[in-house]
Amino acid sequence: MMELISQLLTGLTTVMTVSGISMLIIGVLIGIIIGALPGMNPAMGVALIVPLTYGMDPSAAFILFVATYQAANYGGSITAIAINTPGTPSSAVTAIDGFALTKKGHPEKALGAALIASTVGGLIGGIILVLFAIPIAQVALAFGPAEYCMLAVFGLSTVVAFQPENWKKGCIGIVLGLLLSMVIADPFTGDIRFSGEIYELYDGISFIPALIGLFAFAEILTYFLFPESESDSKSEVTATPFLPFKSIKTFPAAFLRSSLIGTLIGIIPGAGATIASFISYGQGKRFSKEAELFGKGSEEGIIASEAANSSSVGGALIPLLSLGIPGSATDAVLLGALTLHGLVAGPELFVKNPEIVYGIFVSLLLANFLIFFFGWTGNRIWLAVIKIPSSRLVPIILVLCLLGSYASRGSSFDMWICFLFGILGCFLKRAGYQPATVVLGLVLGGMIEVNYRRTLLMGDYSLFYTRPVSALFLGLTILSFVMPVIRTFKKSKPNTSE
Amino acid sequence: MIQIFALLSVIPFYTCIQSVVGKKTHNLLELILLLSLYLAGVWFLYHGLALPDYGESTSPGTLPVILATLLCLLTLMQSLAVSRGQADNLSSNRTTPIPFIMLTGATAVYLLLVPLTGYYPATTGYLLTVLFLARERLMLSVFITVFWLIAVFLLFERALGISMPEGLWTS
Repeated sequence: MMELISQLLTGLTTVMTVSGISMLIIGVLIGIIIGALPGMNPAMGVALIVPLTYGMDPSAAFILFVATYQAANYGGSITAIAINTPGTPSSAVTAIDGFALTKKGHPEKALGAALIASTVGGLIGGIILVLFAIPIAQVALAFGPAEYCMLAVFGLSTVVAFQPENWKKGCIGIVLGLLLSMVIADPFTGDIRFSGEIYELYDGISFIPALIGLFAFAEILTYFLFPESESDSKSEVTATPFLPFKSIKTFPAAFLRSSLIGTLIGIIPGAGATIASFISYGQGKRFSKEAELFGKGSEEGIIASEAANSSSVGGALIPLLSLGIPGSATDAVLLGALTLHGLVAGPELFVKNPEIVYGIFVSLLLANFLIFFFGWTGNRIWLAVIKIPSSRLVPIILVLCLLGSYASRGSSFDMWICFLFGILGCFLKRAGYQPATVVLGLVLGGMIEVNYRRTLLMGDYSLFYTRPVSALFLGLTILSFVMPVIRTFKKSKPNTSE
Repeated sequence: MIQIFALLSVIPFYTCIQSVVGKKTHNLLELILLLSLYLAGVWFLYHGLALPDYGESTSPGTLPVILATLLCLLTLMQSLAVSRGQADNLSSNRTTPIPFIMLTGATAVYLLLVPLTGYYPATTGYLLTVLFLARERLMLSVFITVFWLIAVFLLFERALGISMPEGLWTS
């Protein structure tokens, strides 16, 4: 313990220099802007600044990277809440309750909840990283295809949270999303599936344009198709101040649970912030005392999503730093940046370059405080954006959606994906289906198929229930689907006895 | 199997027609959506069955066929529930299809024009059209458009190094 404290003090000395603090501030500001821009994600943000650090001291460079990475995860929530355009894929879940609260006239509550959840989640993820990096990384390595498949199937059970009143509608959305995720060249045999002559689809349907289409573009089409419903739902923006500590006091369990879920899922290579926020949202609703508010502007829903995606950053850094295994696209960029600066990730990094490792730990923790400061100050700007009349804001959002779709891969075809998914999302919403269920299927489809087939190549179906972690996820999935049925039965019991 | 599902498409078709004839336009949108999803399911089923079979675990079509069948069955069940009036009550706000059709049409034309004229000329026309549809004043529309183009150039092209699409006609 004393050794850990002394190493952390070394890290603190690295960060508390003029260049260290400057990098921290610049990183947080860049990260928030990158995250808020639709189509840009944390990986792109970090990749963009890597060339700027060629001649820089590695310690300062990694402070910049980590601050950008963490802040970009928060930045995604701003546009998700303000204009229903998720800046990053992981903030898609935040858009559901965040934009609902904005429509009710309480954007300051939604922005405040996202900010405090990101800060607390990021801090918890950082603390777990500092305390348990090496032992937890070993556990993550035990994950095989069966575990990954069952984790993803468990993620599907979140549908109960998204469409609780009509399971058929929820299942239709999920199955549609899963099917659309299979419009891709077969990952094992290379057979072209469902894409015909459209070669842009050989790599699959690009996720970011689909996401922007289903959420933001669909919202704008609805504005034009049903102007009455839009004006009905638009409330006056109130200037009630958001009280962050009251929020922590009201929902302490939500903060802790979501941060733990986010960190644990972040540790698993390949799972990432998006899956973490979906699973956390589902669990959040399951344990909430105000479950009926989820999807209609629940502060707890925003906390569940944001705390999980921010804490996943700390989690994802665990396998990267201690084993050299990148857990997400951003971590892969960080791994490349380590090599670029002549460093090798893994246990030796802790011994040879403790000032860099512990500098990363300390900067991750400090970045959260700066995110809170800049987020708090910046929220006034976003509140001003929300107050712009729809006739001016809507056309700008429209071109922003298409531009964000293009920017994600530099492909004009992705603008078509955004447009078509926008039409689909508009009709799904009007018919009472949650577009988030389609997103859930799209996110998890690839992971389920690849790992399901890998498991069967390794053995048979028994692997799913004989391996302990896989069996645990299988059990949790069954529970997730069965519990609501039992609750409904219990609720209806007194009526039948009468 | 594909023939059976193709035949069963009569059910969602019938529920749509029944809704129009019975003037139950309340759920017509959902029925049309379900019919489209059902037909999409049949399409996936047809193409999934046509994929080569390498054995149970390695076949590229196994999961898509299962999922397509599931989608067809679920949409059939939901269509029947909607036609029997068992589905959720949806709000029946009045639709204004003309601006919607104009917007989707303008977007389709814009997306076709981007590869031909390049990003900036196509976006100028598109943004002005959308601002006109949103009933914004002309001078303000021009100001917003110019502001947007400058912002894209400075932020995306200069700061982030993302090149906007160049047109065949302009390059």
